[in-house]
Amino acid sequence: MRIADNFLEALSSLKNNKMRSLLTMLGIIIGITAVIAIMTIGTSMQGYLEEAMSGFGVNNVTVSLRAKSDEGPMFMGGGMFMFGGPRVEIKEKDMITGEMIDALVEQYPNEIKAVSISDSIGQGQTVRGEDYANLSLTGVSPGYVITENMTMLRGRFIGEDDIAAGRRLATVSDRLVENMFGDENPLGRELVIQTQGHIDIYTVVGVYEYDDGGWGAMMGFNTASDYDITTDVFVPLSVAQKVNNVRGYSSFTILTNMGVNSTEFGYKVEDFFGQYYNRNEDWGIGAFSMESIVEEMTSMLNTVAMAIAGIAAISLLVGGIGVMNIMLVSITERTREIGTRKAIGATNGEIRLQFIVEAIVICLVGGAIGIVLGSALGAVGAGLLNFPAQASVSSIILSVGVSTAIGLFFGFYPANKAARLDPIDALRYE
Amino acid sequence: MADIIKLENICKRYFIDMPNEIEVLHNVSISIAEGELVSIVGESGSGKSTLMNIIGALDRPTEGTYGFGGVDVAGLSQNDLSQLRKMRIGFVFQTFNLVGRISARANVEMPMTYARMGRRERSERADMLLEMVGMGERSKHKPNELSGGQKQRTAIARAMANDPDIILADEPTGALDSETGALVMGIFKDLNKKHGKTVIIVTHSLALAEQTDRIITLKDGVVVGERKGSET
Repeated sequence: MRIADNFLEALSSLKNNKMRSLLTMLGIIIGITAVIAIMTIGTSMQGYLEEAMSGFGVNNVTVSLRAKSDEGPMFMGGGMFMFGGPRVEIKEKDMITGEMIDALVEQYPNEIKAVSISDSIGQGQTVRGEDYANLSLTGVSPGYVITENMTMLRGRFIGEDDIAAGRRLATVSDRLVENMFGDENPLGRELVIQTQGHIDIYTVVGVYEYDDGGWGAMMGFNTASDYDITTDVFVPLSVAQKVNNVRGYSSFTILTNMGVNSTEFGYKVEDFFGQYYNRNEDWGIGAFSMESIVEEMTSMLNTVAMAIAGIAAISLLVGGIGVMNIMLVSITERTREIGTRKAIGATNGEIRLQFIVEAIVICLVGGAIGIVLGSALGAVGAGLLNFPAQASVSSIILSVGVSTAIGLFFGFYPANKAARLDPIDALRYE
Repeated sequence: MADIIKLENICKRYFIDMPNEIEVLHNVSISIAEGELVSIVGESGSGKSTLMNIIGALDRPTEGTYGFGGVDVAGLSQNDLSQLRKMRIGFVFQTFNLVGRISARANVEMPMTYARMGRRERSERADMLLEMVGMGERSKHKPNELSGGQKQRTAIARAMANDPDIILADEPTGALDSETGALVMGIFKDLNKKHGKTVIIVTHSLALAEQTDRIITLKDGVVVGERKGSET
């Protein structure tokens, strides 16, 4: 019998027992759906992360104070992340000093390309008439525009001169400009910025392109409407220090040279700061890179994927046993048919092949349904997590292979049993 | 005419070397010539089913030789036996043994699929064969939509699918009323006379056997008589 005829036979047999076939497929459908869904989400997330990483610069290592009572990093919106919170007060003696940073740069001249320092003044608002914009006021050094891979749209970023002179200048986001000035030229305009217990007037010298990189949306922070969105306003570092009345810094960012593993370099930096912070009871130094976060998220996702793959494997195993069971039932029911087929000239091999193909077709149809359901589920899942959905081609190919293998494996025993039936007994079977 | 089937001293024993060993056929020798219409008659337990299975290459004799068209069947492998059944023997069963979930035409096509015939070719041949047995208009019906006589006619068309040398029919009218039985018997006669097929009918019914050229009577595993049919 030709293989195409085998498939037609198998389909006619399945069509004849629609409900039974569907129930038999259920295990396969659930297993494949689970695999495809998680793989689709995984692929979407990975593709997204890769794109996000290229935007952020994988070479950045962010070094900041970390309360020793705290465990891990905490994500902030807008691509910023910070260690700890205001639970333990940062005292002057806890701060990172310029001398420490200089010593670090001296220690690792080959690894460090640039250093940028930032010091947060706090969350606040600027208001003019009915217009307002939410903002996060941060003092920065000139290197910040490099390490954060920012795009300037107009004017300039904060410079060394501005820091030395302590000028009250601000580089703002295009989103803030939209809120406050609309289409007017914002350069040279003044903003009254209010943060907790502090009001000051800043002159706009530059506009950068706001880019949340999707991180905020992904982590579910930017739930505010577009107008209420909080963007960073950058002012000279010296201004922030004056407002905060401190001389040290709570964090800075290192741009490493090409080829430096930023995750490993992060550990070196943490070790380096040990000499300053080992005896500090409240604060230590945490250094981590985008790469390490991506690695962590990937490994987290892999763990979840492994767990789901385990469940899927059990489902596929149970599904496969179901297929074997139904094939045994089917063969018993069709004993006379098998006898007839043998009488009219089917060889044992042809009978075996027919039932194996039937088992494979059950699994393939189940697998196909699983691929459709899983892709849909994965797309919905990716959508909920705000990733652009990407089909996981490799998992689809894998699913087709796995379905075929299950059919082959679990179909073989029943098919072999059918092939070995004695035609005389089979024809006599009631 | 040359013998298409030549059985010599066929013995068939079951449960060999066990306390309940039983010999069902004793030294059966039968020759059937090409183009004959023969019946093998016997009561139940006479061994006629066993003999039919041996002739149909479904079973092997314990002793004796079986020549089919000059070929020693005893020396054939399982696959060769399948090949023999597929291309040279057409089976017709008492209970039709049609596959219920497919149409009459698909049932007729089935032996041709095992012969690896192309789809169009076998479909055309199935239609021709169904036409021949008077089932041309019901080729798309499934077996459960057919009467007993129609089922048996479909089964005969299936037996003819690969243009075999012999048609081997086991109680072909056993499940039919006498009128339909006569009609089916008429088809066998046609196959024999018009198409030159060797037809072997195994039955317990003497009335049916009388319509064949030659009646071979089997009793307790032994051929007890051979004579011409009275109605031929």
